[in-house]
Formats: sequence, structure tokens, C-alpha cells
Amino acid sequence: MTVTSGGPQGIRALGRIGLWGAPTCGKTTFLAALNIAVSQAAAQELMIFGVDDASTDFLVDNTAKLTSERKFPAGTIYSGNQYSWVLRMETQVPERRRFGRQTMTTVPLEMNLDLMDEPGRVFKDVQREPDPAAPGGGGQNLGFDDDGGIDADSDAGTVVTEDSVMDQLASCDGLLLLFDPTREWTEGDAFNHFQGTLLRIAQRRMAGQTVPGGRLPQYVAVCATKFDHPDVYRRAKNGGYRRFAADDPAMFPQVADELAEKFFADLVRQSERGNADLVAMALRRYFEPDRVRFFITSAIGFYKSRRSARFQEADFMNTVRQADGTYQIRGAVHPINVVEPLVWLGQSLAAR
Amino acid sequence: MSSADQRPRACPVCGRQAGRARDCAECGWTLQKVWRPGPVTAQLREDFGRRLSAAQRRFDAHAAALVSTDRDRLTSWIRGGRPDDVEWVAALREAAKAADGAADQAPACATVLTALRDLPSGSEAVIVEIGPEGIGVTRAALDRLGTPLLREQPVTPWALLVPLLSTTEEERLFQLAGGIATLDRGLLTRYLADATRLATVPAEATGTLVVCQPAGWRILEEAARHLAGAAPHGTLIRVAGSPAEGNGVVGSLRKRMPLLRSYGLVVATIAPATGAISLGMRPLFQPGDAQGAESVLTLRRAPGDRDATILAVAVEGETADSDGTTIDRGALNVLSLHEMPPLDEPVYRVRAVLEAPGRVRFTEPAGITPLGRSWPETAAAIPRRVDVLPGPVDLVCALELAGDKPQVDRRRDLIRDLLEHLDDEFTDPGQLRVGLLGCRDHVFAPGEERRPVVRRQPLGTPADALLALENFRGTDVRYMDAAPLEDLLHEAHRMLAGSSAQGRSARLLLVARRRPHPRILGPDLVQPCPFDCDWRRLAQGLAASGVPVVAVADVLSRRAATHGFWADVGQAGLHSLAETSARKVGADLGVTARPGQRIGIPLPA
Repeated sequence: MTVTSGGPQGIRALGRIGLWGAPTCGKTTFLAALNIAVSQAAAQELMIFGVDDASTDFLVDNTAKLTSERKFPAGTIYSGNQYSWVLRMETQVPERRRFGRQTMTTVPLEMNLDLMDEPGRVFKDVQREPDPAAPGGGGQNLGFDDDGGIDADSDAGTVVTEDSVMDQLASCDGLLLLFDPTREWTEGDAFNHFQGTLLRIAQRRMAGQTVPGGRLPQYVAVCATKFDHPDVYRRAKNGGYRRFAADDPAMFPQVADELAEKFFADLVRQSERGNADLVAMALRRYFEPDRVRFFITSAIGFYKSRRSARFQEADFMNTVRQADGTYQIRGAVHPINVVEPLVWLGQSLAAR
Repeated sequence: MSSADQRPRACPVCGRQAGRARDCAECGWTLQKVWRPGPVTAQLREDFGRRLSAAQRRFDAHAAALVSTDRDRLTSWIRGGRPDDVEWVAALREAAKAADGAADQAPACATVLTALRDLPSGSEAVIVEIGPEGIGVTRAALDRLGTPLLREQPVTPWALLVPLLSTTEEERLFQLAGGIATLDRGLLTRYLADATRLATVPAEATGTLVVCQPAGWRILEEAARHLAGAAPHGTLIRVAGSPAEGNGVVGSLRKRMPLLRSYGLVVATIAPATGAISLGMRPLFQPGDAQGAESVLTLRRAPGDRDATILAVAVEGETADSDGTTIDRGALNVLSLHEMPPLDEPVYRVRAVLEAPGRVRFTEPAGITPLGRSWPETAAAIPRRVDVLPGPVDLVCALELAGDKPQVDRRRDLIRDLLEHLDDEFTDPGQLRVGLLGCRDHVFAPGEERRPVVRRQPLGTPADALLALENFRGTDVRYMDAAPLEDLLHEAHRMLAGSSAQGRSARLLLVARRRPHPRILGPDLVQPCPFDCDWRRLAQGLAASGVPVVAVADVLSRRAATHGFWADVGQAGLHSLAETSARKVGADLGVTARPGQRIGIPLPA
């Protein structure tokens, strides 16, 4: 994501935000759900729109795919496209008054979100061929395999290079790090994907810095995806992290932001295969701790039958495996914590 | 001087010793007259000869008429030649007169049977039969079933008893009847008077019945008189006419004797609740029934039991309680066992004919033969309990319709085979009602989840179900991990809910590949049933309602056979589709006989 410079009178322009995550972590689906999430957001002033036709089409097509076709967006191919949207919102920022006093003032913000629609494979520390027997990570993937279908030959002709992606990420002011806990349980490769990218960002931003103890300046919203996955949801429920928002008539479950980091730690601790616990440690080491925040998210949310006024514990899975083995979205899409990380990033950048 | 000349003078007509009497005391022939003057002229000799011939002819014709009404049969032994018409008619009349007071065969048998019936328990009588063949002695008693026990000794032929009788049968019959004029009457009398020579009567006999048949035959009557007089408690029974069979009444005694106790056919009754087998009787013959009596019973076999059936004829008695149910199968008084060949018809008639007390023959169906096996051995082979249902049955066949066509066809084929089998076995209308259920997949998509997925054919005849099955066509799989089997259980529960109140047993057959949808989302991530059906609760409800379920899975793993849905549901039987058959399924359902549980004897219709 990039930030446009300038904008409507009085609207503050913010910095760049990059998207970062392992294959099949749900990056494309996350972005496709963003339009729905914005539409469903309680804040009336929140809106999103593309800055060009390609970005608008991306939003329209993938939103329709989720809602009308009830399908997940196809895995990211090396299109090399760069998308850009404007996310407009209002937020309160501190304003210095006379005599040094500070007051909170509501100001309109406009973040231009730029996305190089990158496949997750770019973020691997070591290039590996995907396992054709386990597309999207195999196991109970439930269809978030938006990085599936990549083959080795598809590198040919791509305009996106690892360097360009890394340059983009390194130049971002905020990062949206997507982490798929279900992939970590089955593949255990989150740290592998994470550390290579982290080191390359550090290489680009910290080279030449002389201040000891200096850290990377970006704000990082760490999003544990697929909260609607029954295994993730049950761990939240059983671990006491599940909450129901008082103002949500559908009573969809969520994990409060203040518990998200602890839940994230629990999720990665339950993986017997990987070293995802190192991710959190590395984040604290490389970024300012108060610039890292955790969110438990779901692009499609939980299933709620039309007959039911609210979420049903007995029947909440919003994906259905089809006869051909693919997954389809079962009911309406109710994104959870899709907008909130971006709002937090926007607020944080605005408060700089 | 010849030996004949040495014998005492005898009557030239009847051969009786003449003595000094003027007339023969037996035949009245004038033996001596006063002397008359004058020579014996040829005319006188001729007149004398003519009168003697006539007297001899009359004497011999009497004996010949006793043996046969055919005038020419014994003519060669009639002195004086062939009787004329008048003489023969007179001889026949005299023969009939000789049998005066004799009983006919049937009343004579009745007299004998009455005497036997009145015998004190455990005692026996002796029947001495004096007939044309000789003298026979039979020890007679009734067994505990009222059947005559007759131990006949070989008949001692007349040639041994009275050696002076002719060895030629026809002449000997002539002599026995009274053609004895040429015999040594004194010697004959001595033979006949020697009762111990004629017959040996056991000292322990309660009574002696001396049967003389045919009555009027001179030697027979004389021997009978001596024997009856000599035997303790001797009773003489004279029987007119020649014996119908053998040497006297004993030959036909068994046939003529009426039954003293009822005969029945042993049948098996199945307790509806437990399947316990109890034995009972269906009446065949009543006391008083005699030879030739017929009885027809309508019986049935257990559905699917197409092996040979044993028909056991038993005497009704104290071994049965008031409703005919046998308390102790081993104590049944079984007279005879018969083997009936396998029948196609589930309900059939047997026709029994009483040949004699203790002897029953089955004339329908064809091919029933006596069975050389003991009743205890047969009874031991009858199971104590069976799974096959005794009464009317409601059966619901439920199948998963989704899947590859060949696989769906295999499920339908199994049900079709079963229904065709049952259609053959249940011919009584209403005895078996069959309903069909078929499910297509739940579709988990907006607006489609609540669409009914179960197709149903109400309870009806197997033939109707067979027709309907053709319209239960396969559908595509829309959801991989489960099929709406819980909806099938729900519908089956509804279809069979009223069966019990109607006195009908209820059964469910489930043929499917996949597991059901759970009520709530579980760790296996199978979508819950949109109709909130709970297969566990439904399976428990069916069991609590007394509806056993037989389950057939396309593929049945070892684990599935012991854990989870298939094991929980298929309590009455669990099969793999490739390894089962309609007969196995039918046996588990209790609608057809299990091979190891053959009852082997008829069921009451």
C-alpha cells in the first residue's frame, strides 16, 4: 500500500502500508473482503475506492466472487499489477494548543493503499517448489488457498521481482503481516517465510544506521487469519479468548485486541512443526514494541443461517467442501477485524 | 383184510361210526333195517345206490356250499356227482343255516376291540384265530397311546394240526367245511379234542378270544369249541364268511380299530416379543376316527425357509397345556415322522389319511415320505429361539441416492433383490408392508439448505415398492463428507411410528456410503444437518421404539464396524455392500429365516 501525496483540502495524507504473508495465508481474500468490511463498518465516514480502473476492477471482481459466486479469489499469479485504493476515514489526533496543551481533534484521514499483488512465495527465505499434493498447505485448508496454483515456470515473464517487492515493503510506513495459524499447524513454515523478508527489509532500511539499538520504524499490524476456521475458533473458545461484542446483534465471536497477542502466542505454541514463536520474538526485536499490534481476523467470518438471528455455536462453518474437493463459501460474508488493522495503522501513522 | 376193513363200521353218508344204531345219529341215514323176504334184486340195488348217492351228494354239497357258492368248484370231491339245481340251492340254504348266530366281520372286530379296550392296563389277551389256513395265536394289548399292540405268532397250518387232512388245498378246504365222510372220524375227533395240540395259550393271558371264521365249517367249529372250552376265560366268537385278510380278524384289526385318542400335527409357534419357539398341536384326527379318515391342515413355513420340513404326528395328551402349547417338547407322544420336500409356497395344505391307529399317511403335498429319525433327535434340532418375525411386518428400506451410478445401482440392486425375495415369501396381503426412502445431498448454499432431501414411498406391498424403486434414481454428490442419513432416520421414524399400535413389527434397512451430518459441527468439520436432525437421538429413538436397524455400507472399514455411526446404527446387522446378499440382510431384519435357525417343522397358518 502506498500513500498518495496531497488530497482534498483538509484531509491528511499518511504513509505507505505493505502487505506481507506466507503462501495461502489469505492475502488476496483479505483484500477482497476489505470492500465488504468497509461497507459493514459501523463508522459511516469509512469508505474505500480505487484510484484507477484496475484497482476498482480488482475490488469489484473479488467482492463479487466472495458474495455472488461464493468462491474464494483465485490464487495470486505473477501479474505484476499494482493496485491502489483510497481508504478514507476519520480519526482523532492530538493537536497542540497554546501554552503547550494538547487536545484531541477529529480529522479526516485518507490512506492510499497500494498493493503489489504479490504471491506469498516471494516472501519465502528459500525458494521452494510448492507441494502439488498439498495445495495451499494441505490439511483442513478450507479454501484460503489464494496462493495456490503457482508453478515454477510461472516465474518466466513476470515483471515482479523479489527485489522490487522487498524494496516496496522496506519503504512502507506500515506493514500488514498476515499469519495463517492453520498453515503453521500443518506446514510449520511461518518463521521461514517471515525471517527472510524481515532481514531483507532490515537490510534496506537499517543499512548505514549508526544509532545503536535502533529499530525498524514501521508500524506492524499482525493479523492471525482464519478465525472462522473451526480449529482456530475452538482454541479461542476453549482458551477463554472468545468474546461477543455487545453492539453486534448477530453476536459473531471475536477476540478482543488486548487478548489477541496472547492468543497469537497460544496458536503458534500449539504448532508442533514450526518455530512460529520466533516470529513474535523477532517482531519485538526488530520493531518498536508499541508499533506492533495483533489482530485475530477472518475474511469471510462465521456462518449464520437466515433463520437464525445470531451466530449458532452448533453450525458456524462458513465454507463447504464441494464434490470436486474445492471449497465454497456457504453463506453471507461477515469479515471480522479486516478493517480494524488498517484503521489502527491509519490512526498510528496519523499520530506520528 | 385191509386197514379200511379193520376200521369200525361207518355211516356211508357222513362217515360217522355207525355202531348198532338203526339210523345214523348224524346224517339220519338208515343203517339197519329189518330183514325182508326175497332176493336182492338188481332193481333194489339200483334204488339203494341211487338213494345213497343222493344222500352222500347232499352231505358233501353242504360242505362245498360252505366253501364256495360256485357249484362246480369242488364238484370233484362231491360223492354222487354234481348236484342239480334243487340240490345246490338246498345246500346253499343249509350252509347259510350253519352259520346262524355268527357275527359279520365288522361287529366281530368291534367285539374284539371292545374286549381289548376293556383290558386292564398292562395286561394282555390272547386271540386264537381258527381259520381256513390253520390256527393262529396273537397276544394283544393296547399301548399307552391306544394303539393296538398285536404280536402275532405264525399260523400253524392244518396239515400239521390234523395230518389226516388232504394236502391238496381245495380238498382240504372241502374237508374243513365238513367233507369229512371219507376221513377216519374217530382219529379226527381225537385230533380236534386235543386243545393243547391245537394252540398254546399263555397262562398269564387275561382272557382268550377264540375266533372261528368262517362260522359253520365243521372242523373249524369243532376245534373252536374245544379251545374255547379249554382256555381260561375263553370266549368264542363265530364270524361269518371268509376272512377279509389273512386267517381271521387280526389281519384287519388295526385298520378297523377306531382311534381312542386324538392325533395332531406338531407345529412351532414363535413368540412375537422374544422369538422363543414353543411347540403346539394342530388336530388331525379325533377319537372314533377310523381307517380312511382324512384331515386337511393349512400350514406355513417361515419366510425364506425353503428346506425340507418334518411333519410329526403326535398323540394329544397331558404334555400340552390348555392352549395346545407344549410344555415339554421331549415328552410329546410322537407316533411318526414324515419328511416333506422343500416347497415354494409359503402357505400350503397337508392332507393326512388315517391308515390305521398309529399309522398316518400324508397324501398332499406330493413327495412326503416316512422319516427314519427319532423324535428326540428331531426335537433337539429345533432352535429355542429364532430371529424371524412371526407376525405382520413393516419394513422401510432407506438408501443414499447420491454417488456414482454404478454404486447407486448396487445399492438399489440389493434392495430390489430383497424386495423380490420378500414378494415371493409373503403372499398374504398385509403380512408385509414395505416403504422406501431415498436421499439426495444437502446443498449448503443460500436458499437451498432447507430444501427437502428425502424422497419417500409410503408403506405398501412389496410389489408397489419394487415399482417405486425404479423411480428412485441416482443423483450427484453435492457434499463430499456426509449424506443426509439423519434425515432418512427421521423419515423412517415417522413412517414406522404407527406400526406398533397396529400390532406390526417394524424394521429399517439403511444402505448408504457416507456418514450422516452431525447435529453440531464437530472436530471432523462435517456440516451439521440444516434440519437439526440428530442421528444419535434418532437411532436411539428407533431402538427404543423396537425398530431394529440393519445397515449396509458401501465400504465398511474394521473401525467403522465397531465405532461411530455404522456401529451405532446397525445394531441388528451391519454389512459391507460387496459382501452381503438379500438373504443375509433379510435374515438380520428378521423377515426371513436365518440359515442357522431353521425351525424344521410347520408353523400354523
